Amino acid sequence: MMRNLVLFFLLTISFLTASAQFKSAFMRAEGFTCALCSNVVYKALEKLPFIDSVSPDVEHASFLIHFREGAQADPDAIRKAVEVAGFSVGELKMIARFNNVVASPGKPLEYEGIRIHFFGNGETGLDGERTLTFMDKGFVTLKEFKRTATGDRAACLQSGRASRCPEGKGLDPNARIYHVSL
Amino acid sequence: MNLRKSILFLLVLVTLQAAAQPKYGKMAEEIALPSLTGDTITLSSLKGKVVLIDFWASWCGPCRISNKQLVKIYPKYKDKGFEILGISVDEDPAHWKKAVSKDKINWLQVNDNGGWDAKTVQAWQISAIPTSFLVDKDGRLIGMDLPPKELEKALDALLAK
Repeated sequence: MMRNLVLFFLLTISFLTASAQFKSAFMRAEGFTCALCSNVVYKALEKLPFIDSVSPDVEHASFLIHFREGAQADPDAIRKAVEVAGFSVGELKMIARFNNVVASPGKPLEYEGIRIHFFGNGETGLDGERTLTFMDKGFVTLKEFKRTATGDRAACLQSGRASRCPEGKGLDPNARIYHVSL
Repeated sequence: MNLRKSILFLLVLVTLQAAAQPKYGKMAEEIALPSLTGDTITLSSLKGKVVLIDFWASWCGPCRISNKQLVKIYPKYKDKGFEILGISVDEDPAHWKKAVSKDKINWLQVNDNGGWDAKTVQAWQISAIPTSFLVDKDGRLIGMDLPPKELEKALDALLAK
């Protein structure tokens, strides 16, 4: 009985830690030609160590990316791979699984090795599966960036570094903060 | 010394380029894949016909446009000894089947459901789709990625013989 309990406890822990990570992402790449139709973006993504599989998603005209179990997804590495392949990221939506966390407006949330910041006024409760849409420069089309990166947000979304963002106070000035919307 | 090095480099480069695509005049590599009904279709069974081998996928916009052009060309030549072998690399056969019926494709269709890792994609060294190859009656490669007008010109010449 005791052994069973311990086993159960261990299982629960491993389940909890395994479930709190980015599972998958939809990424739309843009360029002068069809990004899905050439294998360069596919190959560049497949090489990234934290990516398990890449497949085209017809409905979203995007790449559907599955991350490796237990690996930390790196949005900047995805962006760079796409750019080296001669394309740019038009949209990145990452699917995260939260275990009842609260994101406060003044402070970025540490999640699976990256810092994410939610725009908004109050505290945001996060539980279960949520889709995060990235808003920083390089993760949206230029048109979309011009529409959203206005006023105080402009410099922050442009650089994505703590020193340029109000919520980055107290952090290393060079620390990377990703800005997302739910 | 430097000259020898650059010659070697040039040779390596030429070999790499030569390996990058199937050679003209060379016999086309055999293809054996399942059709819409599940039967295996082979390229060798089409010997005696001029065949257009067309790599595509349902998620490839330019391929769908090319399908529309081929729908117009196919009936003009099909009774004169022309066949199209469409190879979809769709991972999900359901997507392939849906696209075939939507685009009103009535030529031979097979599915190699591995996307960019599909074995025909590797064997034929396809790096972008659509990519098409024209094969003569003897199974030799004689053209690649011909635009619709060029394809018709080639077919007029080949099927008049």
